[in-house]
Amino acid sequence: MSGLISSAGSKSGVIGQTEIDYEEGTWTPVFAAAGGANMGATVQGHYTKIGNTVFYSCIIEITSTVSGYGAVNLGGWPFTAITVTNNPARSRIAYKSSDGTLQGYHSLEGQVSGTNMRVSYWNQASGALNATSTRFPNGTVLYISGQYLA
Amino acid sequence: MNLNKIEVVGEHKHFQIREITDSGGYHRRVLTSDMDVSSEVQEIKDKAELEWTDEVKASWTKFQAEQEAKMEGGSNEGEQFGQSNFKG
Repeated sequence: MSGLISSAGSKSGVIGQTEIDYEEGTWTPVFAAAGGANMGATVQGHYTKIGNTVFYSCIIEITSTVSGYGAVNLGGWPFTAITVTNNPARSRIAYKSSDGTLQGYHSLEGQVSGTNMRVSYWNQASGALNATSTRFPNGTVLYISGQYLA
Repeated sequence: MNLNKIEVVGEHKHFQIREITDSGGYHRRVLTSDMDVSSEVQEIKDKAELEWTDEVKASWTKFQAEQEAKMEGGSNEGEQFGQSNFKG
C-alpha cells in the first residue's frame, strides 16, 4: 500500500487481497494505583494503528504518588485490546527515579488486556510480580512503548 | 477537541472515541459501561443510553473480575519481597 496520509492521519488501502487500515494520533495515558487516582501527568502519548495492531508510546511523569500497597495499572488506551489470553504483546517500560538515576535493573513490563495494563516485573524466584504504587515516587519518569492487538 | 467518530466494539459495547484536536490530528480514548458520561457530548450520552443496558454493564463487571484474576503479576511485590529485591 502506498499513498498520502492526511493531517488527520487516517488511511486504508489494499495489500494483495487484504484491506489494511492505517491511523495515527495521540492518546492520554492514565497511570493509577488499582482503584485509586491518576498518579501521573502525561507528557505525551502517541499511537499508530496498522490493521489490527496498535503501536504505542508514551512518557509519564509521576506527580502524585499514592501510598499504600496497590498494584499499578495503565489505562486510557486508544483502542480496546483483545483479551489477555490471546494477546501476545508485551510492553517494555524504562524509568528513572526522581534523582535522575535510571533504575532499569529489572525492566518493568505489562500486557494490555481489554482497557487496562497491569504493570509488573519478573522475579527469578517467583515469576511475575505486580509493581506497586510506592515504586513510583514523585518525579519518576516512565518511558513506555509496545504494541498490542485490537 | 471535536467528536469525530464513535465505534461500538465487542460484546461489552466499548465506545472507541475518535476526536479531532485543534491541530487537526486524531485523539483516541475508550469509554466503558462503568464510566460516567455525564460530562460527555450529547451524542455520546445518547449512545450510552442506547447501548449500555443493565445486561451489558453486568457482563462487563463480570469480565473485569475474571480478567483481574488472569492479569500477569499476580502477587504484589511487597507481599513476598522487600523493596530492595526489586533491583536484583
